[in-house]
Amino acid sequence: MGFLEIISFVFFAGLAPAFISSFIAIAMNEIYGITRVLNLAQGAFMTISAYLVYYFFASVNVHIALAILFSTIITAFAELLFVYALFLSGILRQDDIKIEESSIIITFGVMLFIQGMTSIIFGATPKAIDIGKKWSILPGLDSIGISVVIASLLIFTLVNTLLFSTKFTVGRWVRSTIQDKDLANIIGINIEKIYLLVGFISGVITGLAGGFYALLYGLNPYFGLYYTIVGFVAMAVAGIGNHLITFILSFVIVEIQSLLGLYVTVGVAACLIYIFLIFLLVVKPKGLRSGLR
Amino acid sequence: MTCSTHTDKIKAFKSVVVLPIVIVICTMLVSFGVILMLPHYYRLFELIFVFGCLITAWYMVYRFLGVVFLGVTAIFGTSAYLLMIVQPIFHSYLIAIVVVTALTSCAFVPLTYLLLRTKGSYFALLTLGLNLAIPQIFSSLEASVFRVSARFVVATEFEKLASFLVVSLIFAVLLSFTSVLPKMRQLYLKLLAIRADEDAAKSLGIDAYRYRFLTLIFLLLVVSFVGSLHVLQYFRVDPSIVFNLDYTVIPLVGGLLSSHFSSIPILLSVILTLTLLYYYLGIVVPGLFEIIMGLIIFTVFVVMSYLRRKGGA
Amino acid sequence: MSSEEIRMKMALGGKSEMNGQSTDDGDLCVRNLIVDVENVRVLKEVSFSVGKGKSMGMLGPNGSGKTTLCKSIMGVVKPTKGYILFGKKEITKLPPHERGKIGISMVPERIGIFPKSSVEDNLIIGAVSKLAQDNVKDMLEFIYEKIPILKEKRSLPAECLSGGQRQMLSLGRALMNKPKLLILDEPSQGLSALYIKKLRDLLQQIKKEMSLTLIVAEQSPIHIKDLCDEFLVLVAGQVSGFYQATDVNLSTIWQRYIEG
Repeated sequence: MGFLEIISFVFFAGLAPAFISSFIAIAMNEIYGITRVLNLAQGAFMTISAYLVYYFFASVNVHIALAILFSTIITAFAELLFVYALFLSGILRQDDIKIEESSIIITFGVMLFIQGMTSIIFGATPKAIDIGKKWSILPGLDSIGISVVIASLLIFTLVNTLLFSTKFTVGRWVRSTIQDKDLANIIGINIEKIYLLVGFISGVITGLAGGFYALLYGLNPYFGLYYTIVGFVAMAVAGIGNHLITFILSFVIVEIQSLLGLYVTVGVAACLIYIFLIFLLVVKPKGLRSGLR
Repeated sequence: MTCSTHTDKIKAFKSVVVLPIVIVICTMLVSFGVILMLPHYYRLFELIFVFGCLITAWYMVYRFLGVVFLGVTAIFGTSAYLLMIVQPIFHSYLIAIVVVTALTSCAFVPLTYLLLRTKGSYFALLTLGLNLAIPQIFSSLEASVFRVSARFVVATEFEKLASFLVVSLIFAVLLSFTSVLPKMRQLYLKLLAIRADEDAAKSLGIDAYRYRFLTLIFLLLVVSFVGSLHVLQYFRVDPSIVFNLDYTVIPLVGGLLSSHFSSIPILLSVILTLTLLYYYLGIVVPGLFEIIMGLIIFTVFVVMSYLRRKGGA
Repeated sequence: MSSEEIRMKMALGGKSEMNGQSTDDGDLCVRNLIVDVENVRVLKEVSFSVGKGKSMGMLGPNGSGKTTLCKSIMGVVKPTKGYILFGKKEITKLPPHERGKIGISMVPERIGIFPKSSVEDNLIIGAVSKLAQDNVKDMLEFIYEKIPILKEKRSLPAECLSGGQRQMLSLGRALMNKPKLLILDEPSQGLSALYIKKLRDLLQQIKKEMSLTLIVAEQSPIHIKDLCDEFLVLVAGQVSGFYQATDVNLSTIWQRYIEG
């Protein structure tokens, strides 16, 4: 294989994981932008979904599409319940900085809980799904990979349109809640509903990411943390509220890591990117270009 | 957050000065337990000491800086692994521990300097990222440079015990001595001022960044030290063993519980309880320890916040 | 009688103590309201009534509880004890978004706008009740007619407006909901004399045209003396006095207010 062929193979092979990380980045950005919750457990919710797909497909013998659907719905409700618990406890009614600080610790705890439960229920040994024949579209890109790409682009468009466009009432309410939730509450916007909607949509996105991941890779209870970190870094560097750059950046981070993997180990590639991004955050603390906030 | 009452000042003083003495108490427990009473539980008492140091250091950073440091595993593991790499050069575990503590702390100083410049929540997440990134470096080094898959501790049980007792006692004495110096009182007052109102402290000429940095240096030193000490308890050492997320979880949970119910007896109880849970559950049922830790965090924050809200209403 | 009717009758005591009116659609009745905020008693057994189409000025120094009372009526702060009746409905436990739907709107103390949203979006957001949402275009035209500067700057981000213009926008947003009851918390704070006059004239106009029940909280009676039919004086969380505009003159209110 020539050099260009290798590069293009690695690029196309990296599309699926790159877009999966974009899923998580969109979900994290959405949750953070609207509720100010930094969700360290986003990757853990993805783990729930992935294992549920495995369970429905491998143990219950449900069709893979239905397995993904069920797991997505369950994950969405799990995340909705999580956001509701935060709302009921009053944590989401505090000022933004306090929410951020508390949410890091709480979501870290949720992440531990989910990892522990997954470990006990499914065991720590890797699990894998074999769905049989996959059609290859390009070298490195098969039918599952292209499904991930299309789904990711669709989700990004839908989320941006429904949740953030001022053409819809929900979009206006969401933008108002982001800018000043106390004022939004005073003027009569039901911020509880907004938070629950955001939690549900974030859960759907995360559930789909977990479903796709289960089709592509082996599962272990700890794989989600990597996607959480990538999602967070993309969000922080892009600037809060900047959905498009977050989406693109998360994709770019994973693709660069795949390409760097040709020359150094994948782990070292991750470290190099991580260190570069720390420097970027030090130089531009508010990110490359902050969005709505 | 203001800290205007005399009672609060006394509490803060105790946090800085008295807490290191807690470490001495833990060390004494270990010494007595090991030598006189329960030699079979040496490992447990050693864990009490290690976790006691980690929890105390984490708690002080959380209390005075108000930041959540999630990179304890990275520092702990780095120190532990560096000891295995460096020890053959010095032929002595004692000297190697001192050298590695200094090396690890110095290695993390530039990163800490940079991370402190980011905002609080980013700091926490970036330090968590360290736990993923650093083990990868060591795995790659072992595979490509040293070409080994694991390393082995070649000390006798007596050597392990002696190293542990001597070094931990020296550490505890040094720490207690330092904590009663007049300079420490100045340090605690300044940290108190920064925590209460950073802008007001800056206007008084207190360099908030410098004191935050110093507090983090303290954390680096303590964690590096216990990391290099603790690795002696293993026989076979590879990155997956020493870069264990439990070394981040336990100080986090212990530090949180201690800050919510701050008193010395509570801190000691927390250290003992967490160590016992880890010792008996962590190995026997993988995953159960994480579930319990997750539940504790959730309960402390979410459930108590809910009850406080209901009580207030 | 249903239990709800019994409770309402008991709350009213048959007749209002203040002005002899029984509740009707658009009337507001507050009875024995106690509000605690972080274990501090901010309001102590506050009772008053405002009839439909009337306007009440709420006077008091800093810390008297005006903002807390306004927020309690709007549902942002939950009372510890007492009742709030709006029309024939008890609204004590109703959340703010439900109160918005039944026709209560508030212009909060600090100038409350969404800076990144456009002027028009800021106005449209205020239409939370179904009636208001069905008549958004008509209400927009009405607001633009009353406050022409908002029409000029409709597509600009709200942060481009001056302080006075922002307060007008905040008022316009509250009016978009076609409220029956409008609460204004210190609307003249930080405004120039010109804008205070504009605001007052606008409120007088709208009060007549929309048959609005108004509650205006202010520190100084000067700005609202010609606007309000009644005055409630609050000192240290308690009602210090309740006066009809025709009964007393400004200097008496002022003296009562100063003496507490």
